[in-house]
Formats: sequence, structure tokens, C-alpha cells
Amino acid sequence: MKHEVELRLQAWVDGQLPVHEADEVARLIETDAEARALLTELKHTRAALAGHEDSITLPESREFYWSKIARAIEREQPKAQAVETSWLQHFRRLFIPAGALAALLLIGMLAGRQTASSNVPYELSDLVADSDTFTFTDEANGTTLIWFSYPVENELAQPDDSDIL
Amino acid sequence: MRLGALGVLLTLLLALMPVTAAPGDVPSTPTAASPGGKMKLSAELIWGTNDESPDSKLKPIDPKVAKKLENLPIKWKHYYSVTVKELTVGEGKTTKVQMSSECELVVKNVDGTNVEVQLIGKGKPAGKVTKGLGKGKCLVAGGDATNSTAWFVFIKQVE
Repeated sequence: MKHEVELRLQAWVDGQLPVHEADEVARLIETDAEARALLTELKHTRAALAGHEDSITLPESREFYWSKIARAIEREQPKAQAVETSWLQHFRRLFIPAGALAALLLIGMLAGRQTASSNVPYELSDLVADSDTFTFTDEANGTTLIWFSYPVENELAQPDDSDIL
Repeated sequence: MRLGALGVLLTLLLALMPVTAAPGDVPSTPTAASPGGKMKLSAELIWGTNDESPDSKLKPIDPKVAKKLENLPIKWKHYYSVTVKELTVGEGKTTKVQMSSECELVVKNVDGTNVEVQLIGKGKPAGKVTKGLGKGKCLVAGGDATNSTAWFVFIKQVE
């Protein structure tokens, strides 16, 4: 016997089949001996279990009892969502200002560097040379040359007929 | 949100980057400091040209200075002294020296051994350099002038 037929027989015993399916199962029972044998076994089992089943009496109707469970579930779901939203908002509250502050600091640092370097065309130390500036050190004579790409039209020492010194 | 994340990331990267010397940093090379941290310096404005000087008032530079310039990768035939100024700068102090009608020097004694020299041409900053000027050391700052000539400021510590 197919398992599906067995399940239908079980449902028939429990009275859970629609009318037209119940009629089919009834016909099957009349014509099939194996189905009848299984039906007898199922009825015996049902009768045995029914004698030992605890009877639980609800103080309210079935509908009200389940509606209470449904309301409890609905109450729990918004709480979980609220906790998640709160955490996310908390994270954003901290992260966005921190990120903005970091961006401002970065801009300030870059602007500071640009401002410092724009005060004078060239600013050098022993360690750093501007890309437009040539440096040379003669260690033997202790002489360091810094060659500025200073605009020719602004010459510093160009002698002039009227005022040299 | 993404901008914030980028800002945080870049700031962290910058914070984790090793500290490098920036323009204007004071060199840490130790040199002999003068008593009291004062520095007596000599600054000479020099004009370099391949032609003879059209002005007889201009004198050739001291041979010792000329020899130092000859060892540098600059090849002008003649170097004329325009101005020589001596200045004494206390530690942490700054002195301004007029080298010509258009050239000014602003010299700062950083720590008794390092000087910060700012060159000003026609009232505008031309460049700034920080250099240790110990015994026997000198600084030559230069640049192009008109007609394939050049200007130099030769700075050394006077004993």
C-alpha cells in the first residue's frame, strides 16, 4: 500500500478529509482488504491513545487563547526591530560625526601644508628639497648650494646703472 | 556615510605613516654651538657673469670664496661682490639685513647652530632654507638673473 493511501486513511479516521475524498476512501475500504486491515489497526491505536491523553481545560475559548499567543508574538517582533534600529542609529550617531571630523582634520592638514608651502616659493632644509630647487653639497669644502628657480625678471643682484650697491 | 568612512580611513593612514621631514624642519645634525647661542654670520651678495663687469665699482670676490664656488656645479667666469654684511643673531632671534635695493635676508638663529634664511626679492619671498652652519661650513643660495647672469648669497659663520 502506498504511503499516500495510508495517510489518507489516517485522515479519514480523524475526520479531516473533505467529503468527496472521504467517499473515495470509503469505497476503497469496501473493496480493499489491506485498507480495511490498516483501518482496523488505526482505530485500535486511536482508541488506545485516547484513553491516556491528558485532558487540558482552557479557562478561555480556543480562539481567545490563540489570539493571546498571536498578540504576544506580535509584541516581541517590534521589540527586536526596535533594538536593531537603535543599535544602528547609535552606530551612525557615532560614526558619521567621527568620519566628518576625520575628513575635516584631513582637509585641514592638507590645507595647512599647502598654506605653509605657499608662503614662500621654496622652503628647504638639509633633508628636503623642493622639486624645482637644485641642491648640491660639497662635503670636502663644507659648502651647500641651494639653487632657486627664482623668476629672472625679479633678479636680486642684477646691477643697475643707477643703483648697484 | 561613505565619506565618513573614507575620512576615518585616510586619517588613520596618515596617523600611521612614519613622520618625515617637512620643508622648514630644522636639521638635527649636531654642530658646535657658540657661547650663549649667539651666531656671528657673514652674508655676501654676489653677482655671477660670463662678461666683464660693466661697473668698475664691483670688486671680484675673495679668492677663498671663489674657490668654494668653483667646486660647485656652477660655471660663471666672474663673480663680483655686491654687498657684504656681518650680523650677530641671538639664539631664537631673527634679524633682517638689506643686501641690495631689491634683496633682503631674514636670518633666524634657530638653536645656536642652525640658521633659517629667508630670501626676499623686491619685497616678495623668494625662498627659505634651514641649514646648520658649523665651523667651516657655508651656505650658498643662488638663482638665475637676466642676461645669463646669476645672483648668490654666500653665508658663513664668522669665527
